[in-house]
Amino acid sequence: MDNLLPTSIRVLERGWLSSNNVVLHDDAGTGTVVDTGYVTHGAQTVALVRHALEGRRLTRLVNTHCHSDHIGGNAALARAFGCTIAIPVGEARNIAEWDTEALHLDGFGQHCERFAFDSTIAAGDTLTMGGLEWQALAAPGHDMDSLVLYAPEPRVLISADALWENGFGVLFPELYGEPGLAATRATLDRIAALDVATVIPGHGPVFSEVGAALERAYGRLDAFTRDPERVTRNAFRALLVFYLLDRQLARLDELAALLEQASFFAMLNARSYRLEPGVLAQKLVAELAEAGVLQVEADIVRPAH
Amino acid sequence: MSPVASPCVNVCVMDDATGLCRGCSRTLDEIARWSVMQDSEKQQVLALLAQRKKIKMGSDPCG
Repeated sequence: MDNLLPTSIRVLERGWLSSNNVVLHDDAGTGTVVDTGYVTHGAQTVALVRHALEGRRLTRLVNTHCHSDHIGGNAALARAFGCTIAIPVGEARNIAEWDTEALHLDGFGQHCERFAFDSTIAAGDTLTMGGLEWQALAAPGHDMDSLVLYAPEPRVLISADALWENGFGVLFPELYGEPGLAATRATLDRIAALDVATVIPGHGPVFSEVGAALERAYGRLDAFTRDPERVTRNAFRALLVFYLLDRQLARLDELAALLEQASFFAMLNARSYRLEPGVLAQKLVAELAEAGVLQVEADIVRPAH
Repeated sequence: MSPVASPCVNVCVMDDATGLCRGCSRTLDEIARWSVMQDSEKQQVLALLAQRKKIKMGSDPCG
């Protein structure tokens, strides 16, 4: 695609396990990165960010929200560059106390290296990054504390997992009894009211057809609203695939153990499927293999590439 | 919507000996620039990856 972004912005796009990393050239000597990918990719993230900085020093790291695929490289980048770390204000307690349940780590079978933050960002704050003024906007839904970053001048939105080219991230708050569907609608409405030419999503390619993406997102939200059970089942499948992307392969009995022992999966199974973990693992793997997302050979399950 | 799918397989670890990603066999520069490549250049990278994988398999006695 044509490069739609100002020259001070570089987007590092990999697969789904690591969120996109946005590297911004602040001036001739310094740069900022927004979101840092998954922990197991940390060394490559450091190398990619160094490459994208083109000789600059990374002085600041900003997170849109604190999920494992967005903060996993924080510790490695802070070690490599000595940069400061800024997180959304609503995540401050969870990160300071490293609450692995609230951070969706242990309960999901996910990992992250602990880090310390230096400052917080709240909705309404403005930041200068890449020589541009950015507004931090509240974007609850996928995460109640998530922020998106909007630069009115080049009309660029860093949309995190609030809006992708095709949908949005798992609606975790809804699963924990918070009004995630309503929050998502308000967030999409907020984005729809902005003048946006280019979106840098949390995952997937940079895109410019914002209206079409919003239409797809509203369609998905409408389907979830009509049948909230779909929120649960979508989350279950997405998190199982994420787990397999992390491990690259697992035996069926290992997946059954995950579904039984990881608190998130156990909670949603008790609420939605109510199946014995081994039976549930087989059912989900069969569905995901049918959809072309996973491959199964004997009892070994892998992501399909 | 870009019709050329990313070759990333979520391994994302560089191999010091080859200078290539152990998952997708791309160089750091090819990974870093993927998001701004034209489709024609993406196709060229994908063709190169197929060659690199062949060479890798040929040189590996266990391949």
